[in-house]
Amino acid sequence: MTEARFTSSKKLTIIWIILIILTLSSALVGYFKLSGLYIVGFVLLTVIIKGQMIIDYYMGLKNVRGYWRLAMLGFIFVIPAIIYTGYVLSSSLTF
Amino acid sequence: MSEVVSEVADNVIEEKEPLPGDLAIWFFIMAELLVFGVFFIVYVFVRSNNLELFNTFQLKLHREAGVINTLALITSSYFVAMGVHAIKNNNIKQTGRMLLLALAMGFVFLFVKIWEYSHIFGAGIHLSTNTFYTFYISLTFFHFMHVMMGMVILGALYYYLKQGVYSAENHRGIETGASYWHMVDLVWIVLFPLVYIIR
Repeated sequence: MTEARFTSSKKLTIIWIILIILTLSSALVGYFKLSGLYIVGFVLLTVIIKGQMIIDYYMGLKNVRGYWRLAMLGFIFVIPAIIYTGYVLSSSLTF
Repeated sequence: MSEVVSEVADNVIEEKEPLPGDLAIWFFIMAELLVFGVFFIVYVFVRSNNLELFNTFQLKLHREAGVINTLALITSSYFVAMGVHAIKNNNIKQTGRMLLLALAMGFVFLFVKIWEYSHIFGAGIHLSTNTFYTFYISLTFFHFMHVMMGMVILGALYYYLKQGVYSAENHRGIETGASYWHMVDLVWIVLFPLVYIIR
């Protein structure tokens, strides 16, 4: 029981560290004012990974019954996908 | 054979957990995410028609403030998740500490955001300065209101915790409030790169 508790809070801490690292990677993109579709794709990928971690482990939906997890993941996958499509289309319009 | 299959099926069903918190909060969260999602899509659509304007004024934002706020909200979410974990183990003191730390991170977010707004409004920038600022101010302020609402909820959770309302057996209220707070974090992790970073 004690072991299980320790593992669970340890997992939350490891996820927090990963979230911080991913955020700092996006911060570096901002700091160096990088732009372009590859950069946009990279940043949006970090958004999807971060979102999935928050939904699964912080919200606790990883093993939940029903379609709530899918609905939540829908937001974090579909919105970045639409954003990326918008950026691709707008960049192709400028050339 | 059929008994074995049935037993396996039962085990699979048992592995799944019930939804954390009240069902109503999840409908509310979905509605909120839908509203923010539409807002983000409209931003991208309008940006595509005002590319130069958006790219120019995006660079004038305080990216460092955005980064600090992202770190604050993620850390706050971590404390809330640790608080939920603690209450499930009936560790009331630890839950209280975690809720207070989450609140402190919320205050960091509010302080930085107000500082950012004071610089922007101090420079004479307002909602109708240009389309980029219309989106920047309305999107971030709408989210700001959600952070404030979330902090009221965290404060209420702390109050009821101290009143002895929550325990390992009765922690649905804490899960409900925590779910709302994570939603606020989830929205920000999309909003931050969209408005501050990607060009």
